[in-house]
Amino acid sequence: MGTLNTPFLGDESRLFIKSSPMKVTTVFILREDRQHNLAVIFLPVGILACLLSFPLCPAAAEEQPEPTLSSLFPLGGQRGTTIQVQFRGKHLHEVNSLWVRSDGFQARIKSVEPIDEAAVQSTENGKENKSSDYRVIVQMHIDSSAPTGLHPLRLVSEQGVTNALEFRVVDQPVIVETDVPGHSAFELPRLPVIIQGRLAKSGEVDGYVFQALEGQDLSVEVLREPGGGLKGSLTFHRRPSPPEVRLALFGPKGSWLDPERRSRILFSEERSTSLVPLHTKGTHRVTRSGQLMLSVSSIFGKGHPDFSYELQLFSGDHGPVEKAGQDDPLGTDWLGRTFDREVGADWTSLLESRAPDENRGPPGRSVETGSAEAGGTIPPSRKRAIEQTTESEPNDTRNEALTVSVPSVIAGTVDGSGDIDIFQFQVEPGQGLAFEIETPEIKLPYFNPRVSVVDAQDREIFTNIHRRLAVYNSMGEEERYPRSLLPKVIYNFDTGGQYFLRVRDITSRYGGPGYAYRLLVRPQIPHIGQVVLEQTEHLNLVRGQARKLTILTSREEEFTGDVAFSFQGLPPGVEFLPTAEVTETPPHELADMPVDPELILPKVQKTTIILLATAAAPLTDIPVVVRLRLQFIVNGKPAAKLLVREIPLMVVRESEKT
Amino acid sequence: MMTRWATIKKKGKFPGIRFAFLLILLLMPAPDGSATEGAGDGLLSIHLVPRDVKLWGVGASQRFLVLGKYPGGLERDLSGESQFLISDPGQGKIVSPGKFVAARTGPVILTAQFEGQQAKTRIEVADRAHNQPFSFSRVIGGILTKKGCNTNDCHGAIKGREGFKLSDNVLDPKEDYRGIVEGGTYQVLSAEAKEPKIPRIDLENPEESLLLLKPTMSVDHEGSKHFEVGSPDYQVILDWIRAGAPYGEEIDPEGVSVQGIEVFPLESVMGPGGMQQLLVTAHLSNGHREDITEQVHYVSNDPKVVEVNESGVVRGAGSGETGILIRAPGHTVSASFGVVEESVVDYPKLHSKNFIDDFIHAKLRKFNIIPSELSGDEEFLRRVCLDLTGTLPPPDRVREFVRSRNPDKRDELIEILLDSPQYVDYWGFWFGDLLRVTFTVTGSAHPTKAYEDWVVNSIAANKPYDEIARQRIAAQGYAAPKWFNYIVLGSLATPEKIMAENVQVFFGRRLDCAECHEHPYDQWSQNQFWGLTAFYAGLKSLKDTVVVTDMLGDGLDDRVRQTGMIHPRTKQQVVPTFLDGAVFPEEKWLAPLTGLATWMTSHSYFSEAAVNRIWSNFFGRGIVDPVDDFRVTNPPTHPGLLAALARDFESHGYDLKHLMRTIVQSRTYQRSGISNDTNKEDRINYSRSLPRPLQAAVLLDAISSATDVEEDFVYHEWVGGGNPPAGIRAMQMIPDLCPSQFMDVYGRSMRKRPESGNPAPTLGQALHMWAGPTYTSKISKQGGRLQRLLERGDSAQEIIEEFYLATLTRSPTPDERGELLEFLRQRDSHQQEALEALVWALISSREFSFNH
Repeated sequence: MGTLNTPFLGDESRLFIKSSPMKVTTVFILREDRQHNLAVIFLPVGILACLLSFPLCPAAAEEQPEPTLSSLFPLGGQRGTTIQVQFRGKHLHEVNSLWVRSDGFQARIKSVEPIDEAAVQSTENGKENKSSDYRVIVQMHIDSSAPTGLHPLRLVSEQGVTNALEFRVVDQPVIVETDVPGHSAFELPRLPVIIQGRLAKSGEVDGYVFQALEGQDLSVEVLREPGGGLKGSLTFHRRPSPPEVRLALFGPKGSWLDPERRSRILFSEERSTSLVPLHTKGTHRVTRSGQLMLSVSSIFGKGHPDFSYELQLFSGDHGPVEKAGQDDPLGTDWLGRTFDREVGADWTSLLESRAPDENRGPPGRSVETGSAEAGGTIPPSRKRAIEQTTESEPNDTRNEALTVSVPSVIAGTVDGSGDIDIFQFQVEPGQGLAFEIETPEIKLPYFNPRVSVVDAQDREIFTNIHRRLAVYNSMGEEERYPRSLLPKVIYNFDTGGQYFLRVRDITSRYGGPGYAYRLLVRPQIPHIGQVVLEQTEHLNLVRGQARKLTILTSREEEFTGDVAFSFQGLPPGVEFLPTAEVTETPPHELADMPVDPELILPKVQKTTIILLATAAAPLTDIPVVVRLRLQFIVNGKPAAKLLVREIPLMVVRESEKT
Repeated sequence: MMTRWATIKKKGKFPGIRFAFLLILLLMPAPDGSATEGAGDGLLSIHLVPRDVKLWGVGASQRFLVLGKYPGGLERDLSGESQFLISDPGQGKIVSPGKFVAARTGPVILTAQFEGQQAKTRIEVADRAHNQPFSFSRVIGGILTKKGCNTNDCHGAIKGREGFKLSDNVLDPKEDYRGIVEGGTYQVLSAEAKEPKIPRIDLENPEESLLLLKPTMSVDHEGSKHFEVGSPDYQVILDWIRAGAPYGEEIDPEGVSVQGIEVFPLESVMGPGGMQQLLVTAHLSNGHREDITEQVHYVSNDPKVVEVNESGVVRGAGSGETGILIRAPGHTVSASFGVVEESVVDYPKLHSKNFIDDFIHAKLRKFNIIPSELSGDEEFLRRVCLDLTGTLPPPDRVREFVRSRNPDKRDELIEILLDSPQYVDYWGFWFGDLLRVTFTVTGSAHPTKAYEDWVVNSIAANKPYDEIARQRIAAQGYAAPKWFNYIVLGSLATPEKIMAENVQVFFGRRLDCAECHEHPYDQWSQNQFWGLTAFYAGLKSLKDTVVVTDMLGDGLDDRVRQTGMIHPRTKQQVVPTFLDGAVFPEEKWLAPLTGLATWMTSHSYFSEAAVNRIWSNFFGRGIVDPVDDFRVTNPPTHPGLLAALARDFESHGYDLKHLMRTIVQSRTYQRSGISNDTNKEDRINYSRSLPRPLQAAVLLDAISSATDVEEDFVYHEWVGGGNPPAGIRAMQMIPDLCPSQFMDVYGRSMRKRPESGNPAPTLGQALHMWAGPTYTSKISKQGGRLQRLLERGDSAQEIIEEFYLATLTRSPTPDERGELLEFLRQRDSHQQEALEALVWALISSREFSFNH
């Protein structure tokens, strides 16, 4: 165990938009050509005593108010236009810059003003913090060269950098709803259209009227709901929880009993399913040309100036924005324990890249995977050959079971109510396998794939239903056996031979073309799974203070190796202290299934580290992007690295106590 | 405001008082009349019931009725006054009026004669392959049933009587046998009888058996004498004890069982002193029929109306309508009887719009009740708007409708209303009450709202009702209309509670009592209760995703072997079993509620309960009333109509709009509320429209509509912020999320249980009328209807006219108009106050707050 401080030269370029004290925007291209520190700590370690002469965060940090964004409006704009963007949040009074990491933006901060409390008092139960809420108006030009997609926007002040909110850049026209008294409905010029709106007041209903043509297939889809642009650990402090947006379509005429009351037209989804309606999207085939009205409201009429929404209304199959595949520049989450990752050869290789491999490269050379920037790209040479099997009916009985080999990816569909797909495979004695299921179309919780393995004697060996013991539900009632469905289950087969794999929807009620699954059967790969940096989306280090960070590392499939964490790109005066508190959490709640519980859920290792801004650390006027990395230690030597997260960091002065 | 109203009242010039007075008159009992017809007077023909009978085996018997037909479709039992002849006396004999006993196999013709008329029928006596073996249930249970020993007011009570417990109607013959042979006291929570165990039979001295001594009153017996020593029933029991009291065969060797019993006539009307023989027929599983008229137990629900003897002869006692309950082992049916003292000369010819009128008119004719005339346009318009949409028509629409000369305007209006958004509002609210869209027990507003959306959208899409029910009963998954949306699984929603509620909602039956013991007023056993509950034994939720599943065996194994449901009394595992005793196949235990939902929605109970509920909305009472209390002791007033409505509903794909359209198009629905001499006492035969109080939410919306001032609703703090959108109506609010003193006072349902009736008026309502803000503040509110009319410069007469249309859907009568104008003229200097008083009086009147 030890520490290592190594000079490091960064090579990243970032676009930085900074306003002058006169609030006139100037643009800086920042080269990160300054000295950074790289600190590495080897793990596992015991608990080290560390007597710091500095105040320790987060307690200390909480005393220093940080600028925080709660909302952005509008949530997007068209390329080649200049728009006015309103940011809302706390402690924004010293904001001087807008920070975005892409080309093609110009901005000018027009005003920073405390929020008029009278305007929001009626929407909240009197708990609004009157002294800290600010509105920042920014005039922003989106150049025609700006990349389309989502862009994280942050504001910068002497108090530090804010959390990021996502702003969408599109090529299509964008309608921005404005609050005009007495204006009951906006007229939409044409379809398709992207609508940027806000449910600013309680009970607000936004109406949009448009001409529809007979035979037209209309679609409306909420791209982002209130709060949808917020990432990380940020929550609405003392504000109502972001509500669910509700869409409704209305016909052209008033009713016989009330000419002002239009008749609601049900979306196809509302009309045809046995499920409770989803209000965030809908389709409708127009039966008669005429003016229709789309209304947008929120459940129980919740409203707040922070409640911005973004939706698209279009005719045909595809809207201007592909929601399913939309960019997620802030997303750095590891998908290993979700039903969303694309299982297959690439996936297997990606897992292998998160395992220690001394042959992969010399110590210190990084192979960065698992981050948005690295993208998890796998060299073709490392892709494994995995058999592809497409399920076909009938395969509802053991006699009809399709034979698959290991490793295999099975592409199948639960065709209808009660459908069950059965496959058979051979196992060697002592072989450890992993079964991973993905639902590429209809997702959890609407499609709940139940996977089970039975032996040749038709005895069920295990399932992906996880039962836990004795926790309490939200009503405070004891639930002895709450259950959940796992996207992956691993099992060590003591006895070799023939086994059967069964897949169905857990409810036995649902099925159809969208109930597709991909099931990967593979040998186990001990690897590092999710690495979580708790409550740290960005860092504002107060000069002369330390900040404690907690990292949770999942050790998947009995991974037992050592790992170390390091920061890359720390600015001058910021140190990574050789102090760590390492604990290994006990396994997740005991499972009463007939398998080792540790094979159901991974062990999670908790690591605590400290970042210190020395008293002499130069203040930063722009965020510095630092990188948290994980490094495998193989045979006592540093091996491959994983990028855990990029974090904007600023060193700020201690605020004056009031 | 109170002073002004007091002034109006004292002068007695307000029409609401008149209407209230009119209602009082409508509800007053009418004077009695009496008249009977001679049997031969006006007799058109006679016929025999049943016809073309097949009897099985020598000794088999069949009772026949001779029915005389009279003008107007009336019938009368002439059996006791007729002569019976058989074509070949060697084939059998007539042992009592109308009862034939077969002496040998072969055909024979039975002829009945009365007053020169005759009717014939063929009887075929066939050979019986096997003699029926002894069965405790059939033979001994049959006697105990026939004598009424196992009724709920005797030994069939929950814990029996005097330490002797029999199951109601031999629902549990094995337990009955054990109780008789072994003795002991019944225990609710254990299948073991409590000590001391004193057998009811004495094998050593059979004649000393309590089972014989008690019913012959040879020893003290609270239940009086049931048969004589040496009587046939006595002898059967004695012979059985002498034979060692065997249990006999559980099942007929040929697998024949009684599938159901039928009574004839189902309904009948007679004069005081009139007689009617009942015929009770058992339908066997092999398709045969068996006359069991003399093997069943008869009880009159009201002996002051009709009496019935052991042989099933009903005698009219006094005017009224009641039922006869007929109990056979394992089965109970009922028949309705009316006694009419006065006949109507020149009964008018009634025209029917559809089959509803046919059934209603037929019964009215039997009861000599002449229905009221068809309602006028204004009366119909108000009624149908409130019933279909819970909404008052605006004044312009009233004028338009009344002016129209279109002969089809009523049918066209019905279609407009069925397609209106207000129809969705009202029936979403109505089904919200029934299906319990409520926040209270979930503690979470979001799923409550989602559940409400599912209800409302189901109505908007006119989803077939059986589909609604299936989705609701078998709800699984995440976004399903599952009980999780309205109730938290746990102590508040155990499987037995969910099952009982679903049966109450979709079968209109209450099984709750059978949870702990046999149902005291119905034929449901504890085994049936738990057998049905076992379908719900697997209800679980995945906590991470709130996905609900119903797999039995906890879903941990695809091949379920354990249901996880234990009978509280026998402590044995219970398997899912339908009410008819059919066991749900084990291979389907992965989706038990799907099977249950399919079975429930295809059962006749389902459609009958559904049409009855909907019917009650339009008439203020169900054909079975209360609507969720179907039981043999609470028979329908119009069983034929109930069955016909149910079949029509089924054949039209459980289309709610079709059902409502059929109802409101009928002349029965469109009758006036003004009574005549023959129907002023009638409250159950639909001879006129009866006033019904508006539901609290509908009344509040009506006041808002009449005054043209929206109600300012707020959400309960449980919602956590937010405001209802402008213009939302009371019926669109989830009750426990919408604080409203007005609706509380007017008895709105808080949906703690499925709604099944209208609340009764209370003193609080009267006080609220006087001083409540809903009645007072809306009237004078700026922007409201009155202020608008005043600002527009409308005359007093125009304002009166407008408010009459807006509140009562009619113009004032000339008298009312004249009196009100005079009233206003006298207060010319306080015109606005006087007009406010007028509006207040209108919306406070019963004519306004009732649908009629």
